[in-house]
Amino acid sequence: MKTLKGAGAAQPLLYDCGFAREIYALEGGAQLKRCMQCGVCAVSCPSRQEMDYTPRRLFSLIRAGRKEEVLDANTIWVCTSCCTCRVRCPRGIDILGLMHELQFYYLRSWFKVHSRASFQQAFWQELRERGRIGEAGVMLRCWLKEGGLTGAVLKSLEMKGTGLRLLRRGRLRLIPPKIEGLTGLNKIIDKALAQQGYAE
Amino acid sequence: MRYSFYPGCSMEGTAVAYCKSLVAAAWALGLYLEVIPDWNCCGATVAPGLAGSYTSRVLAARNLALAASRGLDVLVGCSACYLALSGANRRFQEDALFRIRAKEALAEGGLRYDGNLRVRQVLEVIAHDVGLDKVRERVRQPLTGLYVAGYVGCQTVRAVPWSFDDPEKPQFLEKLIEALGAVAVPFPAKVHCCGGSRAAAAPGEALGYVKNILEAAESAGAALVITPCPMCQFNLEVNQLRINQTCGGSFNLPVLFFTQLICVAFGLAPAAGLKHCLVPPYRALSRFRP
Amino acid sequence: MVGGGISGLTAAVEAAEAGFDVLLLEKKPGLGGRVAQLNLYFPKLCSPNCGLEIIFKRLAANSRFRFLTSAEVIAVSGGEGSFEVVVNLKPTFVKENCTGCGRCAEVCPAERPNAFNFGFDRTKAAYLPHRLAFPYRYVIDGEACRGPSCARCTAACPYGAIDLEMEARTLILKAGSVIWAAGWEPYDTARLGNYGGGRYPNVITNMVLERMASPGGPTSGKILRPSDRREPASIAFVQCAGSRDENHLRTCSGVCCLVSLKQAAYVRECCPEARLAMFYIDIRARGFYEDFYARVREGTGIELTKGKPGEIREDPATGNLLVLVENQLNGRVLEENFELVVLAAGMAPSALCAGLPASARDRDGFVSPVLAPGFYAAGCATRPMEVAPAVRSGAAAALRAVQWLGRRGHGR
Repeated sequence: MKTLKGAGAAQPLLYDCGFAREIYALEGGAQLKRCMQCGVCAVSCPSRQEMDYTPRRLFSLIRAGRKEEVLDANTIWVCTSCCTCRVRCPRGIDILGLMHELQFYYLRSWFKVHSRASFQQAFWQELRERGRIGEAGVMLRCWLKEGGLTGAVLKSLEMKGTGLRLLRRGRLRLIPPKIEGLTGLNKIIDKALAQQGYAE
Repeated sequence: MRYSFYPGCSMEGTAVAYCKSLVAAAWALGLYLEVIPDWNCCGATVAPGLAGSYTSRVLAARNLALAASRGLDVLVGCSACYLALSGANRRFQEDALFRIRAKEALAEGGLRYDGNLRVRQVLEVIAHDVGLDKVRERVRQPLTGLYVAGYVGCQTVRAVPWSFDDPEKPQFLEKLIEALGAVAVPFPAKVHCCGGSRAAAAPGEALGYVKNILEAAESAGAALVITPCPMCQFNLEVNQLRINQTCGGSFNLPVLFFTQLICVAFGLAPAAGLKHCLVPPYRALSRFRP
Repeated sequence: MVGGGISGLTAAVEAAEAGFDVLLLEKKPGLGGRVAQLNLYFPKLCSPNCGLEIIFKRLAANSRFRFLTSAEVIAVSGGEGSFEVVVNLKPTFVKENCTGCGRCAEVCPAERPNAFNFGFDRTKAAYLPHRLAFPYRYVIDGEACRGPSCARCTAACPYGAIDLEMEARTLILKAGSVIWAAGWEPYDTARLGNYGGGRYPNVITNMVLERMASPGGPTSGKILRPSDRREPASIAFVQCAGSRDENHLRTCSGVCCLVSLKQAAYVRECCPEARLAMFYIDIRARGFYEDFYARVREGTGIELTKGKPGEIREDPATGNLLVLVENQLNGRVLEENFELVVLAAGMAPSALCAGLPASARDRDGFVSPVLAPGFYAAGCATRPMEVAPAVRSGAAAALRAVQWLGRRGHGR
């Protein structure tokens, strides 16, 4: 966070490196140091028109310690994981990996929830409870999170055309089976989270 | 040739036709697939945002651990699964610290993996292990005069750049279309993003991506679109209907998995799973079905 | 001596004048290398020909210097004082008594793309490597030639210099010391799919522009768009096309910024109305080159934009190009139209032969100046550089080689 000492006076702008250091410590976060601000990612992104800040600006803001602006921006949430920036980045930075990691940082820091994260949370819940993902189940969970029971019912009605079509064509399993090794899978996940110092 | 096969969740649901046609086409080309027993979700590009990239890679690696003892290359159809599994595998092979920690986590579930496998995409296997000549030989029902747009999507060629094709201007899918006797229409939108999982999280926001791709395919004169990616197939087909309903579009472009088209050209139409299509492909393919 | 470019030639002339026997091997049919392809040097904007001519004159006067052209080195083995160099001699089908009269080309019915001009134009299968070729001798392209069944050139040649039965030969040569100066290739821009390299006709490399601007080039010095051979009203220079890039060449080629500035300067002379723009990550004009940069910036009206273009799109109807780039200074994404785009293609090392120690190579394929005792490298084979350091590096390698031989009493 920038701190201006002395109102209006010609004081040097001080940067708080703490936020940048937190981000560098994330899985793969140190890659961010390699960014040379060329802007290829900014142009390559299919979602660039909707982004508050391009990835290049986001990285620059992280370095400048502007935590609020970084975490308030929609940038990390509109990434489609198309990998275009990653194959073009001249510094070889796994930019979408960083976007995912920043989402993770957002959700596990004090923010906890984000309006755009319900789908991910639903996906994760389904994965933890079944080991595999059933499309119908994830969507239902997602709508429940977004709008509660009424919201879910309304949304289901809105989407029922698509749902029925898929069902009729044999493309929707309403209750997919659990995997046999679910307990083992969850132990692995818990351990992996614990290794990084997190617990659910 | 034998492979361990990782189907991925969508192949049990919306992409069930991909699974059926892939297995049939692979069999016809002499590729024998053994499904990894009790495989789990790879985490796709969704789990990393919620549980972190590390945990997501570890849970993807559980599948590799299950396949490890057989030592066969792991064949993947879904592009998101390919991205997740190949990414996890690369970490196992190249990042010693990751390997140590991940082995510890896998041991918690009684499993072990050392990074001894290779993760391979179906198209890459067709390019390197099978060869287009063999595909051409196996064609029983050449798709002469069928105009096809080869929609490659994003992750198939970009997960591991240059593994079998140019990540910016891929050619292989078009060569495959030609090998089946069909005509590959010039299709510059072939690597434009379809919106990915954003289409599921926020359907309204993703219609624009799909509209551009469909318009490009239509104006190129394609009778149908093929793709190697379940997410792309789903988005292009379902959002096509939504665009028709809500934005007054009049698209009528069947969207198939490339393996479905292979099955038709191989004379294996019953195994192609055409009945799973929401936009019926029967008119476009009427000349090629017995 | 391997490589007949500016650094190889310098090393050869210095070693020969120090009294050592020198044999120079060149893969191409003529000496002079990349320098012979250039239009003007920076920063003085003078022609490269005079420098080459001085070296050729010094070499011609020296009886210790011999050379083979169309000679590709396949492998180097052995060591200290007893190297064995395996050379493939490509048949040129023309003997040494050729006078360069050009009758063969007049009657030749076959054509080939002109590699010297990067395929921008075509020559007959019997051709002179370029206008100022040394040796001034025609060669016949074995791939394009219709073979002995045609033989019109054999009949036309007044000196009986053509032998269409000439075959490839492999030589094994002995040498006390070897200097590797194989030079560089422009990075293959077809691998830059997002820039349309190799697909869009009006996206060219800086070396093609150099050929075009050269008075002896395919357009006799006019700058024309490849698609419609029309003078472009706007030209964009795109820097770092394949260099400073983890996916391509990792190193900074070091010269491209100045090359583009130089090109802007001479393009301004012949197209006074054209809009010139340059897109860069950083402008790397070191030392006194800063003055040149300042002069071109003030003198040509070139628009400089900090930002690496992510994508170039072609309008197939007009052949015009849309350059997408984020301006780093204000964060705005620009979509600008140009009639010609010049990619500052990175400098990639030429293909290596067998026997070069793997430990001496970096990830881009450049080699260390000292490969082994008695085995040295010079010029752009060691790292990207402009002409002056290449000359210095050639001289340095020659000094290393002769010192080594002198200590052991070889060669003199």
